[in-house]
Amino acid sequence: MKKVGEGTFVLLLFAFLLSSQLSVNASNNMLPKAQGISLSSEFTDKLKTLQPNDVIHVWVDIEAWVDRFNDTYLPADPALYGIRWIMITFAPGVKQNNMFWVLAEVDVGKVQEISKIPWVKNITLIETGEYVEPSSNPKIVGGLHCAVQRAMCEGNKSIQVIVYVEDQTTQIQRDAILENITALINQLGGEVLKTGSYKNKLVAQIPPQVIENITDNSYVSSIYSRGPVVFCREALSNKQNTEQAFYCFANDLAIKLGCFVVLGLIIDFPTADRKARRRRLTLYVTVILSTVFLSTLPSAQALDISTATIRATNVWDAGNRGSGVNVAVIDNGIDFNHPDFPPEAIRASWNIPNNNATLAQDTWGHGTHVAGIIAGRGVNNTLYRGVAWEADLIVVRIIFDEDLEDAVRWIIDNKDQYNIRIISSSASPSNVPPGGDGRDSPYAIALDDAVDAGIVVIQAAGNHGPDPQTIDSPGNAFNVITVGAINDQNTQDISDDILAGFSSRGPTGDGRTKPDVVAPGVRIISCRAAGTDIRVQGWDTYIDDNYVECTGTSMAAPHVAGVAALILQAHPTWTPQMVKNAIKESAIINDQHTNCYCNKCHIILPQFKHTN
Amino acid sequence: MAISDKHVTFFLLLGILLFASYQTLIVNSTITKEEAIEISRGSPTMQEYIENATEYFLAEAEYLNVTIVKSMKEQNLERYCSLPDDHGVWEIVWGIRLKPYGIDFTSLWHYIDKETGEILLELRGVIHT
Repeated sequence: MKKVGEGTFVLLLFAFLLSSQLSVNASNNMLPKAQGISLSSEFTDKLKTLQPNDVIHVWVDIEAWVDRFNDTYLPADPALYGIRWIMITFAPGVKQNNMFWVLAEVDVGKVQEISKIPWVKNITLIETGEYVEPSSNPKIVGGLHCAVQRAMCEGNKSIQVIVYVEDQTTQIQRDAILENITALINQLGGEVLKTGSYKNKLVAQIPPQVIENITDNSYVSSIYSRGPVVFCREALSNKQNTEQAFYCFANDLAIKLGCFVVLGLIIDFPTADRKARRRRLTLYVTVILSTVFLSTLPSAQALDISTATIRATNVWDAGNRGSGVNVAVIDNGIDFNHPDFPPEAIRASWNIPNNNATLAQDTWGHGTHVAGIIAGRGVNNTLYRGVAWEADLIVVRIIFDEDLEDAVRWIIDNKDQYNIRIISSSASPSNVPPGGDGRDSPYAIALDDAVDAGIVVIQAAGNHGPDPQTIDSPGNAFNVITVGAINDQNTQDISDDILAGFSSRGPTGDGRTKPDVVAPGVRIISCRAAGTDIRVQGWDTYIDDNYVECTGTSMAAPHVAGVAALILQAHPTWTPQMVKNAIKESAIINDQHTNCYCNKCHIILPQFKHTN
Repeated sequence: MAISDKHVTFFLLLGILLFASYQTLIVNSTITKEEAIEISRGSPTMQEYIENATEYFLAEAEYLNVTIVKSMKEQNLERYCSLPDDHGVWEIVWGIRLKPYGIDFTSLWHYIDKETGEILLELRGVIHT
């Protein structure tokens, strides 16, 4: 067999990668110009077949985003240009040199206008493949129906899927349910390949035609495709699905890379000399590592979904992101080195246990996660932007019960100096049982005092549900906004939201209605403090070095703190009571929550759009 | 009975041995890290937590010398006044996930006298919900 030269081989690699990538990106004649770019004739021909109001999905290449804390190269409001950013990519193979490829959604009529933006260097239409009728089964998600369609067309006998099960309260329940689903899969001719570390999911190989049989199981919450998924138009029909489709695309690319390595090992490797083999091996290892990375990209979920669930994204579109509003977070500190908290985002920090301003560094991870939900900048990943991602933070670190009251007193004393408008607290004293009357702890009394001092106070309700009268102190305080948790089922659609079983229920010990509102608090992805690992019991899941998924009313409360910041940006003179009223009134009553023992339970709704 | 040099040497050595043993076993007896952990684990508060925990773990077991203790007292005398001025303490920190769901997380901090094994200070961490 003729030897393949090393240079030729590397060239072939790039050609292969390029051809893989550019199956959705086929335009080599879109040369950037000084003022705008010209679109390929292929692209413009395609546009002519569409209506100006049609929505298409494109890759937009933008010039180097050199300062990660400064949006110099991004417009103040991309919506003005008709661009709806979906995500800015950081995955290898997508980021090239000083260019970033942005997955975006645009109106056809705006494409020419966008092409004139100086920092836009290229626009490429995403080919969406054949149309596949979407599944009416809400449990079939993430483009799985496309994978099923393809598998059946191609006569594949099985596909790999990830089956998620309903949240359960105990490990024993989780084990029992997984056994039940495993038996079902075996019975249907499938095979369970592995079980998730936290017993909330399993990976299985199943015949494509039995998907519906699995979703019929009441314990199954959703099924995703694990393998490569074809793009299909339906999968790109909205933001959430587009993000999912991106990951599917990345997974698809991973498969191609894998094929490349196999081919290389079969054809090229045996013929290369010893020296060349070593170099090739390095190359293969690099490609394999890239493949592994691409194939393990997470499915889009959580904070990006929950901000949409509470319709904060609508407010962002109107230009309100909490700018100029300072939120004090009473928690165990923050990771000051996290990229989502640039120095200018943290106005002050105070270490209550040491009674000084030494760095209130988070060594547990809880405070960083909470702060990320409020005002994380989403620098590394815009999916995980906080609810008020332009608000600033005052970090007040507490550790011990006795720190809590001191923390509130410090905030009240320094309210004017740091312009503190909001307190977000996801902490409770350890020595006060739930179900009290609001005067049962110095912390509750202090938080009411903070409201009297003009500060909006948001407090987590606690995790002692589903029994009535389980609101934690200080969630039972009179004037704070007490927040329970819902499970948004990883969808933006609020009709499927359910009250989380663990979320504490009202009324308070003296009969008042609490919680005041509920917000997403299940499987929320937010910032992870470096070096911490707060995963236990399957509630918290590692995403990557910068992000972690957590559950609890601790995660619900900062969503509302973020909403309060959005309101105060629009209405800086509003009092705490006005903000509380606005939040409660703009929420809706969900019939599914009638069992929550709080007379009225609310879901936050889009009326915040009108606060601008 | 004549006292020989051998007898003198023998009793001298015996005396040194007894003195050294006394010094080691009684006067300078100190609590090891493992002992401090067990003292902390056996405390009523920790036992109560263990009964109500879905999981608990030792987060920290560190010896704080006199200099560190002094600096802690300088920062917050009211809180740390019970800590000694002339010797160090063991700082034992537990992380605890509470029933019923294991979502609530708290911590328990014990400061244990290195010489006597007494729990000088117990601090309960807040509950993170």
